[in-house]
Amino acid sequence: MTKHIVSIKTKLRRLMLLLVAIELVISLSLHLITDIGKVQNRLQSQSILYAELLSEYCIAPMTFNDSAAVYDIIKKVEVIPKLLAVAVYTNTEELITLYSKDSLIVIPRKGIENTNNSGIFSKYFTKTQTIVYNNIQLGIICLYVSKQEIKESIINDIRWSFFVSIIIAIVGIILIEIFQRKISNPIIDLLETIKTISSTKNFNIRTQSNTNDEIGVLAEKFNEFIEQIQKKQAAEIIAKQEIENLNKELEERVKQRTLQLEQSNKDLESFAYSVSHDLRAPIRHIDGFTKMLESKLPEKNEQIQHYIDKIHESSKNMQNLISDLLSYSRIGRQELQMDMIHIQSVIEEIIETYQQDTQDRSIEWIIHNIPKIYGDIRLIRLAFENLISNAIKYTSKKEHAIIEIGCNITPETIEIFIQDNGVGFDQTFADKLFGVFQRLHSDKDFQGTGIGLANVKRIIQRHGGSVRAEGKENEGATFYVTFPKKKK
Amino acid sequence: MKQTFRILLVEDNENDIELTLEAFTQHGLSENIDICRDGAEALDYLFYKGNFANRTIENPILILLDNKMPKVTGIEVLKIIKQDNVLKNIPVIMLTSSDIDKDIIESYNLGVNAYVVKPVDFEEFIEAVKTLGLFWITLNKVPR
Repeated sequence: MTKHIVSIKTKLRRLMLLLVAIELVISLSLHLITDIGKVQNRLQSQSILYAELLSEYCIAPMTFNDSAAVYDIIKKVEVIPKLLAVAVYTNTEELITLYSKDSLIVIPRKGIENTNNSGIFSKYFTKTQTIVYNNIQLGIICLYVSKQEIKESIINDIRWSFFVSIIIAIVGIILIEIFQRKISNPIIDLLETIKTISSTKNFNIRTQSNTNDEIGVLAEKFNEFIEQIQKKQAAEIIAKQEIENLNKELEERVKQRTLQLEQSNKDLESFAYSVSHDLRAPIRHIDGFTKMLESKLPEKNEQIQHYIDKIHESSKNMQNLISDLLSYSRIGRQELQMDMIHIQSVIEEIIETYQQDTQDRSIEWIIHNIPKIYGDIRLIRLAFENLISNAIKYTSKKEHAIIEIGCNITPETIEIFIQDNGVGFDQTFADKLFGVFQRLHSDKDFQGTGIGLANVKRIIQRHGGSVRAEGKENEGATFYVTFPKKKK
Repeated sequence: MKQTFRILLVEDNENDIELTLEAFTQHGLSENIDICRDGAEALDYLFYKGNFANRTIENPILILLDNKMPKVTGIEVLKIIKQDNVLKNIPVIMLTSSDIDKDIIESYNLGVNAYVVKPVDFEEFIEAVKTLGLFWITLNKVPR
């Protein structure tokens, strides 16, 4: 939105013109009031004088009722321009004779016109005077006096006032021009400076205004202000640079740490691997030689057979442990091959593989519809094998086992749960469930290495998901695995 | 079954040698086994060098290779065998306790004929040796 801008110059000019107009009105009024009064007084006194003189001259002819002589006397006023007409009346106000220069003036035959205080716009006023001799009134003389003088005086006043006003206006405009330059030029300079800074963001520019008034102070303060901004900006640039440097340093450190971590992770993996392999050979040897020993036994001895069975059992356990450890290590290293997985059919296939082993048990499977998830099918299968075999294992002491598999869907995640009514666990130890070699049940009650759920956790975490478990002792357990939905 | 053919077992661990021999004994093949105790000795055997410079017995019809051995590993031996024009036709089986993906892939890349992870259970091991013998010695045909 752009504002309509009226420059200071224009505003000053307008103000100036207003002042001149006011001056004109005031001076004209004053002049008129004083001048009209003055002229009127002068006219009045002159007309009184004329009237008295004429009445004096008329005494003799009036005494003899010589109206022609009277006319001769009053005719003499023709040389006095301001006297327009003169009329002489009897005492009973009947016209005797008259002299008039202006035919437009209507002079009554009977009765004297008395317009001594006529309005300023009338052409004339009248002045009456009695003609008296030895205290005897002989008649009345009436003078028609022109007001032309007043009008001329008014016109003169108006002319003069306008003339003076125009001179004042011209002088005023010239002065304003000069003052305006002094006042608005620094402002314009300041404005230009602000505009330039605003558009170029160059805070090195300063306004040159240095007048000794408020604008000068404004300009000075503005320069100080810009200087402060400049300093602040410079400080900000330095701070930004510092932050950038720190960030770079931090990034470098993170990179190094990551490398170190990756290296130590790799070391750990290869350690676990080689330990696992080197451990396998002795177990195999123990198992092999025990078998050979068993076959060489001369006779059946129950005690010896018991010990040999124990050795086999132990080596079998050890082998399972190592296999699980290896699988755990492999899960951590294996590259993910992501694809959409029809998880429901994977689950159904896994359950199918356990049918043989569980045919003498009563297991009720409740499988709900589960949408496809995005993941590595090899690892996901392994995870669900673990979860499902756990559910089968930990319900083995139940007469009628119920295993329910379903899902909860949120806008961002798919959560799959596996619920059983088996032996359950104490919720207090829930966080231990997913640890490596962590078990909540003895090997005697339920066989296991304590790797299965650690594998599940590792697999799900590698898919960007999470695991949790809820359980109650002797009432069952529910395992939840949550997958993020694939981002489109 | 002819008694003249040779099977070369390359294995550094005495216990493994004894157990493997026991397995072959159970299948009546113990007389056909030649044993080398590391990769270097196996190469001497195959290329008539060192102690085997004057080997008169013919080349083996099957080579069983352990991988993790001092001096020269099984995979290095495999590589040399498969680069040799004469020896490359002899079936080579990696018989090892390692199932590292990297080793398996590398072995197959070098042209191994089979990769067998020794079962821990001795009975399974005997079964595996029997299967191997049956397939590679009896069923499998190699260029003459």
